Amino acid sequence: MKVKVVNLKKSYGNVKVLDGVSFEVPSGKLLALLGPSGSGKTTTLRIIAGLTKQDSGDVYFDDENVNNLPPQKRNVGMVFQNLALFPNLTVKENIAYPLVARNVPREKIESRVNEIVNMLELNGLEDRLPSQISGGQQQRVAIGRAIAPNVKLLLLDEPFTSLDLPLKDELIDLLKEIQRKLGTTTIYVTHDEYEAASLSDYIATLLEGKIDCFGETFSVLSKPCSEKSAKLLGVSNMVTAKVVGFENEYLILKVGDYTFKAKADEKIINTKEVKVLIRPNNLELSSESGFNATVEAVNLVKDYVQLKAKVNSNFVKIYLEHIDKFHELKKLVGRQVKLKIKNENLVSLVEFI
Amino acid sequence: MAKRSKVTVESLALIFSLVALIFLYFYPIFLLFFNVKLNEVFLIIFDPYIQRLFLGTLIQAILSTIPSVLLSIPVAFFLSRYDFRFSKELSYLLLTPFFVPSFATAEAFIILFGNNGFFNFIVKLILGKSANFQILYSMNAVILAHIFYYLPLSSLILQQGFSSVNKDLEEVACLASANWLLMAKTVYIPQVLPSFTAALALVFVFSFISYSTPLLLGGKFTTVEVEIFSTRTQSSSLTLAFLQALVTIFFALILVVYREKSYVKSLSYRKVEKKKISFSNLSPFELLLFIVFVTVVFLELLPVYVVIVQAFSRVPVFIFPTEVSLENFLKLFSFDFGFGLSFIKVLLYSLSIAFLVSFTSTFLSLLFVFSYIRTERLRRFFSPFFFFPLSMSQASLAMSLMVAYGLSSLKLYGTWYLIAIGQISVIVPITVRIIEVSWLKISNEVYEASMTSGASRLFCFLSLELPQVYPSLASSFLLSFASSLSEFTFSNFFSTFNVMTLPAAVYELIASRNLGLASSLTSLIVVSVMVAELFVSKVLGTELRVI
Amino acid sequence: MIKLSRKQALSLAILVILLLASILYLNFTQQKLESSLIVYGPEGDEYFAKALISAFQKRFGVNVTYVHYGMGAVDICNKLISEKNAPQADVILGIPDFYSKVVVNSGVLDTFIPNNLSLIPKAEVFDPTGHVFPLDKGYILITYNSTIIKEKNLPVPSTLDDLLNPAYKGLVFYQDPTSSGTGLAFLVWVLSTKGETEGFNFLKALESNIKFHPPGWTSSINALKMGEIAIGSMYSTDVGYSEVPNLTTTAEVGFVYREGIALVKGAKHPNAAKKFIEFALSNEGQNLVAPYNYMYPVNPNASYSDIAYAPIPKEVVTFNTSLSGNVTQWLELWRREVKSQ
Repeated sequence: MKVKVVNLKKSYGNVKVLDGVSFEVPSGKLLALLGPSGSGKTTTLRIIAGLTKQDSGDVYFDDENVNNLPPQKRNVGMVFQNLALFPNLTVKENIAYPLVARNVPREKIESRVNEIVNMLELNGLEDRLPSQISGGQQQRVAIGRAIAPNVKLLLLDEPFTSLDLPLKDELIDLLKEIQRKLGTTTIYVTHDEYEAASLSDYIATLLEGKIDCFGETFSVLSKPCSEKSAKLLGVSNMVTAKVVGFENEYLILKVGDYTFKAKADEKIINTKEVKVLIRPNNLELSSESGFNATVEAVNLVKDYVQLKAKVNSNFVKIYLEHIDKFHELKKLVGRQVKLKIKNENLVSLVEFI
Repeated sequence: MAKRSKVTVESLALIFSLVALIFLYFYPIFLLFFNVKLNEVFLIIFDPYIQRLFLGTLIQAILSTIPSVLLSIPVAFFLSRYDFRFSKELSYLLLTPFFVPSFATAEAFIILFGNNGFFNFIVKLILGKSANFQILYSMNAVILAHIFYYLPLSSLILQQGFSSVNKDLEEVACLASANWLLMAKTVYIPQVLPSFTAALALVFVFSFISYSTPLLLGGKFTTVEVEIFSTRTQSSSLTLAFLQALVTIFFALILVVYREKSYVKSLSYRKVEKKKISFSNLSPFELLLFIVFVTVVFLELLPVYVVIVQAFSRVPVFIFPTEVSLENFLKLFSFDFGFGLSFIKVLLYSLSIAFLVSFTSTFLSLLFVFSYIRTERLRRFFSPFFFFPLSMSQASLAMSLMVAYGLSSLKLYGTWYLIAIGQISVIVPITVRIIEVSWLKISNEVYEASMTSGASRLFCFLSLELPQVYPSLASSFLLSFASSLSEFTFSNFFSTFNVMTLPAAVYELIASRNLGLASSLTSLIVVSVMVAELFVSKVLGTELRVI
Repeated sequence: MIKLSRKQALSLAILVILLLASILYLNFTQQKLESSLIVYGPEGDEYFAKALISAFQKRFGVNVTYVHYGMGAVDICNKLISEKNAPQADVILGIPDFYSKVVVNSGVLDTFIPNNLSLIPKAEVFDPTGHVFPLDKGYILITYNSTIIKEKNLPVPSTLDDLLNPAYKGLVFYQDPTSSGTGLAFLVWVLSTKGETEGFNFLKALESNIKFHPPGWTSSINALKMGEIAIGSMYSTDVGYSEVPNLTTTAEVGFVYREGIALVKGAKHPNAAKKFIEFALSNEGQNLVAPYNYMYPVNPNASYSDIAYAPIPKEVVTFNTSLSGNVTQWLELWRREVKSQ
């Protein structure tokens, strides 16, 4: 089922939470809606679910306007941030709840619940209450309840925020697998760019009540459309470069002695300088050409070595995968190095001066 | 495009709730206001006697409130901060006087402070035979009885305040080496102030509208409520009832505004963890608090004890029973209550009315809460609204019900319906509060999760909300039952030969100083009420909220 | 999903059964009472009324229920007045003579001529309108607890003015005239003796010796027993009453208190009600007055040997007919200016 939202607006008193949100999720795809706290992600989700009424704007499910459809009739499954499991019902009953509410025949409920329990590896926990199972198991139950009635749309509101990393990764993988298997259109709200990147087919960034960037995950991540979205997506390296030429749809740019190219949509004749975004894992140490940079710090981030360096007056970060070379790289602190762009096609131009 | 259905289960419940509210409160009060002439109102306002009456009632209420609340501070503080063996049981016992009917307290006072009572025995022992401790049948007796009666309520409200103090602030002040005075000024007082003010306000209002205590112990001192009852056959009584209704509605308005602006917010702080203490290693301060606490509990239970002991004694009692016998109880069975009714009939009447009132109150409260709990705007109106009937003059309400249903074309006067309607109107505000507090614990997300699961509102209520509020329903039922059994005002106003309740019977026995029989009847009510109270306290604990 | 445990289902079933039982009981018993002849009266007359009723029931086979309310005769009269639009009673007895005008003027009584009215001397009839018929009479005296007087070494009170003695502080009483016929009788006694203005001045001065006003006769007896009160107005037949053995009097002066019986307007059983009133005035009915009510019968054919022990006051005060007789106003004045000083 295709989901489209058009120009959603919502205010709470004087506070404008959504100021014209529009996007479209193709059928069977997973959209990650990414934004900082208070940006209106949850509000957008709640409007789509029918739990909150928008001030203006439309929501379409397969070209049908569902503005006036109550939540019970939208055939949507939702996983809440706090899970909202029914404390007085067992695991089996929680999963079966939407089926019972829809008057599905008992035999079908039994078989469907068993199917979900197996899918989510909840065997043996069916008769336990939510208070008697672990956090990770509760998450699975919440997902199970949401997908039990073969919904057309699955909505998830930062469901894994409170989990520790290994459990989060495990559940993200599980969710990905289930979503692909069921082919359910999914909208996943998060403020974590890693979650967004690992789960989604599409990403939309929500900033100041509006969609800033929207597109397939790869293109949004590789070439964020704005500086703010780039920061949100973890693309934090920005360098000011001089424009020295234009050739075959590429701008020739120079930072110090280092010349590189970046794809531009149109020939910018009078532009003198541009601000350029380079992903941290699109830079590498070079002995030949590159940005002249002074290494400020070398840290371990997850299983990467992160190098923090100063290029002119800008700080850049680069991720190097040589975790075993951490101690060696640490000796570079305070020294001059050269940083070279690995793939010029992944460089984004964000501002023309 | 599918249209949202306008008629929902909630809207039907809301309509029914509004009809019930109109029936119970708005229509009778409107009729009361409508039946009063403006010139009579002015006459009464400028009548020196009526002015003296209001002033006396006000002074009595103020003098009842201040000591009651002040004395409850150490008790509330101790219960909210310290955990010790039997602390729960003692705190339930402390609540007992609040549940026990006020006429039982009055009865105990007559026994304890009478010319030949225990206190005068001690006074005569110390000061000689001619000495006499005269406190009964005066404003002082009413004040003292109110202090006894409302101290537990005040303690309950203050406990909720003391246990909601922001522990983080406390710790910050401690780390900043703040002394006790500074801590009190910057941490405790600002955070406890809402509860303190709420306790003052509530005790004041209840003392102002108190009825049975001034009736039994006031002697020549009369309050407005008693005056309304005494003059109920005269047209001036309706005007006085109107005036009293206005005054108490005004009080209630102030309370409601204050409640919404300050009190409710103050309860949202994290609960303080209680310190475990054992009797073998109390600090001097803790020991002092403990002694005060135990003394207060003892004094609070003394009236209940005295009434029960008197019930089992053939002769007037000091403190301990002298001639123990079941004579008073046995006499009950042969006593004619003057309505051609035997004790068994009166008992069955009371129990029947109590059942009906409990069932109806609980059901209505459930309906009310269901209709507004999930809609923020409605909740903001209804939740404080129910405080009005709680703090309104019951005598005025009784007069308005008499006008609306008793003597109108419905002619309900002389039937049990009028007593039941009166009792329901004053019990529902309390049961609504109990159910609402419990219901609010169910997160909105659970409700939304059920909606997105395709459940209808009714299905969500039956499958999720009802099982979780069930303990509060049981508590409401029991509390209603106990309240109905011991309800006095409406019984007194509306009883006829057709219907007589236990409290009306007790009143007649107390007023005619037949204390042996009165005690036996009262002790039956008290024991049933205490059993109900124990259950309610166990289930709700200090979450039993009146305001 | 919507499941009830066995315990819950059982509880719910019991609840519903109890509910239905309650409704049925309340309605069923109510109907039963409505088939009775209802007689209103003060609590103090209950003993007599029941004897009267029992004899009446035996004679006529009519089911009668006696209803008393509140603390005294004025209370039950007020209750009757408050029920004007929905009368519950058929007969009311114990109407004090000086309150009868209030009750008659309120329009809650009906007139008729009892067949045996000729048995009652005209001098005993106090209501000229023919609504209220005389039932019995008695004397109000100043009585005192001799033990307490002796213990405290106090002078013995004999007259109304004696009651003002400051030595009697906290010991004096008279019943609340707004609820008690006995109390109202005392008020009228004072006004009949001293006039309205002086009478109220006297009552105001007397308040300083009074702790509280018992609401009726029964509460006075019990309060005397408990030692809460010691000197005040009671009936001559209370002296020597076994429940208060120390109660005595000098019987210097006393006031005549009369009670009446009447037919209620709108009575549901008017014929039975009339029969009851006639029975109350008959020799048989009046013979019950002395032994059961400790009052004097108005029918000269009836015996009062049972109360022959009671002292007769040396000086007898009757209701001063030159007074305004505006009892409602007197009671209002008493409440406002005497009681609430």
